[in-house]
Amino acid sequence: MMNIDRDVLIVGASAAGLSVAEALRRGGHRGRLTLIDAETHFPYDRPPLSKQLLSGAWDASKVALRSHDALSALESELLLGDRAEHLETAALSVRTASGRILTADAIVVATGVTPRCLPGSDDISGVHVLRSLDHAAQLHQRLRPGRRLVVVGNGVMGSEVAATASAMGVNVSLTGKASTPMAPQLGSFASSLLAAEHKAAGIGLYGDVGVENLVVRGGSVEGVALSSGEVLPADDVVVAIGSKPATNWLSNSGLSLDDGIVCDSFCRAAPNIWAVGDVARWNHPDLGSLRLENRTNAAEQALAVAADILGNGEPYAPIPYFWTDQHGLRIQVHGTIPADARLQVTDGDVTSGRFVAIATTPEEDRPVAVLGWGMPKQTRARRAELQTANSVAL
Amino acid sequence: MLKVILEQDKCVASGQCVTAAETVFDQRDEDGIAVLLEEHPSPEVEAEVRQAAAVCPVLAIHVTTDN
Amino acid sequence: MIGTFILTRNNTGRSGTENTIKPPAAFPMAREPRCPFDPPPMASAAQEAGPLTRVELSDGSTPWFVTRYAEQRALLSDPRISADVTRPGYPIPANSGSTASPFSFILMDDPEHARLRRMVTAPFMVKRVQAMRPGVQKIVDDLIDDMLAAGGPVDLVEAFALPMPSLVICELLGVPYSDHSFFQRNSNALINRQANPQERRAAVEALVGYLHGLLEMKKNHPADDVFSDLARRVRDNQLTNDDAAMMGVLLLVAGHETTANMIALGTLALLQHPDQLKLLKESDDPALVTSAVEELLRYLTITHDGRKRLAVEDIEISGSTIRAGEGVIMATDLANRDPEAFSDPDRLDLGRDARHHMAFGFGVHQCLGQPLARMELEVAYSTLFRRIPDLRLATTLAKVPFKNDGSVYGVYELPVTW
Repeated sequence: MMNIDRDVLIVGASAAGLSVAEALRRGGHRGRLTLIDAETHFPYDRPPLSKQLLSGAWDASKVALRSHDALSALESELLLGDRAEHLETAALSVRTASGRILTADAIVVATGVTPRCLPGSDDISGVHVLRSLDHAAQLHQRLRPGRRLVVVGNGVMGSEVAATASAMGVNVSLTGKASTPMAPQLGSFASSLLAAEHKAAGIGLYGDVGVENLVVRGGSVEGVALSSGEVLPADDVVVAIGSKPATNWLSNSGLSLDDGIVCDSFCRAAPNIWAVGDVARWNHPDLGSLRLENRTNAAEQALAVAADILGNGEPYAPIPYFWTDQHGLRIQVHGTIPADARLQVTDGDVTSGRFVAIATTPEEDRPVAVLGWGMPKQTRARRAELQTANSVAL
Repeated sequence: MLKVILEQDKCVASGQCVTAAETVFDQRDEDGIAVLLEEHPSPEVEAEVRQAAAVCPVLAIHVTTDN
Repeated sequence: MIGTFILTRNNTGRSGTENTIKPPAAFPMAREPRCPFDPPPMASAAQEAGPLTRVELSDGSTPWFVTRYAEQRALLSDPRISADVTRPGYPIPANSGSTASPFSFILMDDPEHARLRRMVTAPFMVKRVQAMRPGVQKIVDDLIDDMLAAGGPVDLVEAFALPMPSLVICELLGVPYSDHSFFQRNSNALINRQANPQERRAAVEALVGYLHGLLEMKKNHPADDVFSDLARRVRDNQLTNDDAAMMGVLLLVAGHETTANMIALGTLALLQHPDQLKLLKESDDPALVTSAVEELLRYLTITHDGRKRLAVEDIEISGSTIRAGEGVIMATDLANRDPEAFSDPDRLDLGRDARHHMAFGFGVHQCLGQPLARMELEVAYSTLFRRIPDLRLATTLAKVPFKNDGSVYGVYELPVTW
């Protein structure tokens, strides 16, 4: 059977899964296409959940990933509200919570990640994770000027939530294991700039700390006891301590799992089975075993997977990219900023608060990342330099 | 994947698209007519790109999430 | 002659009046003196009643009058709508003084319009305008220095609103500043609703004559400015001398009065809305200045004479049929107060997203100077209130003389002090 006529089953209909479906159709795929998702909402975009949707600037209709017309145009079967529970690798079949058995000639796993929780914090009122539209809507309802929010986890999500909430007039404390917010993603210099932005917005910063326990009374959270001994009063707590790939349902599937579904450089997890997006740990030809949790990778990796399903695959070797919007600044990183990176400002300047910098590794002096700080146009221009440098180096 | 189409011969050089989405549109030096910098802009500029399409006075910008 | 009683159809009229027969209102209409920032009450009522109606001009003609945002947007981008003033039936009030020859490319259709327009779009592109900003800031600061040195009260129009854009445009175009009061006088005459046709013709001739001379000078001594560029195009036979002079007049006129009127009227509007002014003064967010400029453009829509067009084919729109050869007036001031396009439209709200307003028009003729206009207004309002934070009116609103008779709305003088 020709590749374009194969039946394809995509487990997970969010950014990555939907992008695979669209790319398949664009590539001439004519076979049956089935998408299945545990969510009951039509597919939506996640980045706005910690920004415009949380602040209330947008309502839920604005985060839809595709219009109904665009979804119909896929000519696929979209099964919502049914969670995949078991995969038979050899038989290429998936069993769902409702008891459906779906078989296909090719399966794409795009089940994403689930947020990590603080142990013992289920069912405590006022404790939130933020992954879904429902989480964001609930949290939005709770955040009012003057209320006290403690964010546990000072990575990208925690930092964004802190920034968004402080602009809503909430009294915010941002706590976490990193010394300064987003230090692992930004490097120490940029991370200290971000810390200054947070402080200027009135956010209390607590780095190098973990949570000892939550202070709970009558089933509601009242405070967060940090490992430093301090106890921060809280009306609400957002737990942003990272996510784990949603692979529990695959534990006896036969797929290799190791902080994600393990794949080769073509994103193949097993014969006729691919993984894509947040859940996929693939072999990046230059960077080795890698799992990227960001929006851009969902779309880009989907193109690679669709191409491979259609028989035109190539090793997937993107330059990782993510962005975050905090305090009116668009912060962008192309590539990966190593902890000991040297930053050279190429546009703007740090004192004016807007700049672009190229990060080089001390040993090789080779550009490995571009950091954009409130200068999206110039950042885009510098990204091209990174690509040239990398292709020359390789 | 976002796809942007610019019908350059309709352009009247109002510059509105540049103001709305400066990483996606520029103007050429000889006459200010718009040029598309990114046919497939990444998702964080989707709202800006759609704004550009909305304010273009000659409706020369089209945005789809499908090629 | 067509009867003055015309059946006005109710097209999803919000007030629900059905098939009223009444004579078309005379256009232009009079504002309510106590609401100088709002469109004439009769115009707003027409919008309420339906998206299309008719008005009567002083020559007795009865063009269509389009009152709502969606319909104006559709028509202004419809190829069956022409801006060619030489076509019979084009709606021109009798006292506008136009002659049969086109004033310039704004009154032409594509492809000739596009060809000519593209000759002058380069200086106004966004990045060039951004590069001009420090120079504009200096012009503004120098004018304010002079105002502060003289002490209040001053007429903000004479001391600031009029000279600022004329200094900017003269520099951009390459007109010696010493000639700017000559242009002031003549461009005022061109757009004064009450000037008679002879006065207008004389003003055009004076400007055209001057520009012929200037273009000749630029041919021999070119500089980095628009008139040098136009002179080069004439030399290369891309353009006749007459066309170049006409285009020059257009750019001068368009760049002076409109921006000057926005500066003065916008300042007055801010002074009359102290809560909004406070937001502007207290914020150091440049994005607020940017959105404030858009909102003031929307709220004031100084081009209150409407965008005039002619249908060249029949057009079905919202239940009406505009026939080929009929004139159409797009009331962009009403479009900018259309509740379907802007919620709570009569409220000045500097933080709202007003970017889709039609103060600069819509379609192929949309103002090509708009990036410059926006930048000038940003610098003008923000610098004025930063350097003179307790600026206030040195008269009462009732005594401020509004340009009700101008084709561009504004104030003749604005006494202020601090």
